[in-house]
Amino acid sequence: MLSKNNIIRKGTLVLYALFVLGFPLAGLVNAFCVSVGLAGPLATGLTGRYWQQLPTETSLLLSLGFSLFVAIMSMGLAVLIGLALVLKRQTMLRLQPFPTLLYVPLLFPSLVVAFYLFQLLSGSGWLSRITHTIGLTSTPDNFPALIQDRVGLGIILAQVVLAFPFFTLLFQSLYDDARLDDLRNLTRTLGASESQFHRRVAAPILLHRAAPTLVLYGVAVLGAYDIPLLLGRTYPQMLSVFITTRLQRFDLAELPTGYLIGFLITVILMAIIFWTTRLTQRHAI
Amino acid sequence: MKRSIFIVFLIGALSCSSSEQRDPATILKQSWEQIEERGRDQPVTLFMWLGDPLINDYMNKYVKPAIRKRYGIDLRISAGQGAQIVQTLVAEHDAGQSSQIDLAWINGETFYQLRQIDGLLGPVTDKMPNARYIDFSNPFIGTDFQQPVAGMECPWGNVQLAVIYDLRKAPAPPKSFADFPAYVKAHPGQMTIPNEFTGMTLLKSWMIALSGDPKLFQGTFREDVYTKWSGELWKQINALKPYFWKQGQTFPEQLSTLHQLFANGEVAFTFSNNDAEVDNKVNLGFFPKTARAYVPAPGTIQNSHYMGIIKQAQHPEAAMLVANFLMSPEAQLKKMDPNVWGDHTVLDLKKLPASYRARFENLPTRQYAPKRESIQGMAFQEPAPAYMTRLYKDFRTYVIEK
Repeated sequence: MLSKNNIIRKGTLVLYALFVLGFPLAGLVNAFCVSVGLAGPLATGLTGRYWQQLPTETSLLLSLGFSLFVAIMSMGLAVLIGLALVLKRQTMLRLQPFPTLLYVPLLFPSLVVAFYLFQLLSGSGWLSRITHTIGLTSTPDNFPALIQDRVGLGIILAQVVLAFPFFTLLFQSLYDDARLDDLRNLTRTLGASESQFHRRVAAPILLHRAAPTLVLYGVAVLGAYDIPLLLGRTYPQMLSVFITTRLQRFDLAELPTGYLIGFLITVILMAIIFWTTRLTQRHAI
Repeated sequence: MKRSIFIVFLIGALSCSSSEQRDPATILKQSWEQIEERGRDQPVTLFMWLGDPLINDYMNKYVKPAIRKRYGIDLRISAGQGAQIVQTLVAEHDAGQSSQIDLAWINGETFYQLRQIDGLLGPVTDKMPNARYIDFSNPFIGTDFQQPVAGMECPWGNVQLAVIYDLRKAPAPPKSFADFPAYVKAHPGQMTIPNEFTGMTLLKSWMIALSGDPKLFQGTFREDVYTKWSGELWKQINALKPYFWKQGQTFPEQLSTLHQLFANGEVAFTFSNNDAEVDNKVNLGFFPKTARAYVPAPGTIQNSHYMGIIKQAQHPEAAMLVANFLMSPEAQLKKMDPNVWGDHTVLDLKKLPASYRARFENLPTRQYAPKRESIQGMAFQEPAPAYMTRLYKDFRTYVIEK
C-alpha cells in the first residue's frame, strides 16, 4: 500500500516528466508528422516531398553556419573575459561594488539588452549622434554598421554582455571550490610561472568543470530569438528567426518545410547536448 | 504505479474534454433576437494585432465598456494575427476542441487561409442589423483579395497604402512609382522596403503600377502576369538596391523598426497601410510634425479589414453582437476620428441616417494625411492572395538573398 506522501511524490514526478519530456516529445512527433504530410492544415497524406526538397535550401545551410559562428564567437569571448577576470583579477572580483555590478546584466531580459544596444549603436543611435555632433561623421550613414551588420557584431556583443558576468560568477565559484589559490601556490613552489599555472592548470580545471553549463548556454545562444531579431540582418538569419519567419509566412504550403527544419534542428541539438554532456562528465575532474 | 498511470489518464482525459460542440447551422438559424438573447452576459475572446497604442486605446477604453454596458459582454482581447490564428485553429480542430478564439481581426491572406481550413462561421452579415449601412457591391469592401466576402467576414475598416515622408529631409518626394528609381538614386540611404505585410503591399502596388494595367491583376492568380511583372519589379529593385538604406544589404523585418528609423531621422520615408496613420503618429509625438503622407501615381492598393467569427467559437452569438457593434455608425464614427484611430469607415454615408451622415462629414479633418476624396481615384483593388505569397517568397530569393 502506497503512503499518501508516496502518491504525492510519484504524482509530482509524473507531472514533471510530462511537462519536460512528454509535451516536447509530442511537439516533436507533431512536427515530424507535418513534415511528412500526415498533419497540418493542408495535409495531403504521406509524402517525402519536403524532405527531398531540403538539400535545395541553401539559405538554411547559411543560417546554420551563421548561427554556429555567432554562438562560438560570443561564447568564446564571454569565456575568455570570464577566465581572465577570475584568473587575473581575483582582488578586484572580491572588492565591492564589482561583485554586485556583475549581477546587474543578469537581471535584464535579453530583449532589453538588445534594445539598449540598438539605441546605442544604430545609425541614429546615441554614439552616432555624438560622433556626428563632434564632426567625426557627416551623416548617420557614415557611422560604421555595428548592428544589423554582415558578421553579426551586434548579436555577438549582446550575447557577450549577457554571458560574461554569468561565466565570471560560475568560474569564481568553481575557482573557490577547486581551491585554485592553494594549487597556484603549489605550482609556483614547484617552479611554474604564473602564465603556466593559468594555461596548464587553472583554465583546464575551470573549463572541464564548467563544460556542461557552457554547452547548454551555447545551445541557448544558438537558439536565441529576440536578440537576433532586433540586431540581426534579414539575411543571413540566425536559426530561430529563420524558422519562425518560415512558419509565419503567408503561404500555408510553406509550413511543412518550416516544421521539418525545426524538427531536424531540435533533434540535432538534443543529440549534441546528450553527447557533449556525457563526454564532459566523463572527463570532468 | 497503477495510481500514477491513473493520474496521467485522468489529466489526459480532463485536458482532452472539450466544451459543448455546437452545430454551426443551428447557430445560424437563430433570429437576431435569439442571438441577442443568447449572446448576452457572455465572454468574448478577440484575437487582434495589438501593435498600435491608439488602436489599443480605442478597443480598451471605448469598445470594451460600450459592449459591457450594452450586452454585459466581457470582451477579452489577446494578441494574435495571421498565421498564428490559423495555426491555433488547426491545432484545436485536430484536438477536437472548441476554439479559445471567438472573434478575430483578419483580412486578405488570413481570410483565404481560414476559408481553406473552413474555420469561419457564416454567412453571418445578413443576420446583423448594422450590415444594412454597408455597400457590399463596393469592390473595396465586398471583395477581399479578389475573394467575395460572401457574408463570411464583417467589414470593419477601409485603408489605403500611403507613403509617409519627412518634409524636411525630402521636400520633393517622387510623385509617381515611375519617379521612384531616379529619386532613390539621387537620394541614397533615404528609403528601404520593410520585409513584411506593408512592404509586400508596397511591392504589389509598385508591380501593378509597372504593368500600367491594374485590370491584369484582377480575378484569380495568373502565372504569366505574375512572372512578367514581378521580373520587371525585381530588375528595378535590384538596380536600386545599392541606393537603399544600408546599401540594400538588409531590410527591416518589421514595420515598427522602419517607423523607428523614420522617427529617428535615419530614413526619410516609411509606409503605412492606413492612409491616415501619419496623423495619429504625429499627434502621439512619435513622428515629427514635418511628416506627411501621400499616394504616388498611378495609385496604391486599397482594401478593407474585417472581423471573422470562428466556426468552433464557444460564444458565437456574443461574438456576432460584438462584430455588429463594431460596424455600428456610433463605433465607426468614433474610430474614424484621426485623434482616436483615423481608420476610414466601411459604412456607405448615403445609407446612413441624416444625423449620422453630418457627424461623419464634420469629423476633424486630417492634417498630415491626404484627403480621402483626393486619393479615391488612385486606388487599386487587392490582387489574389497568391500574388502576396509569391512576392514575399521571391523578394527574399531574388532581392534579399541575391
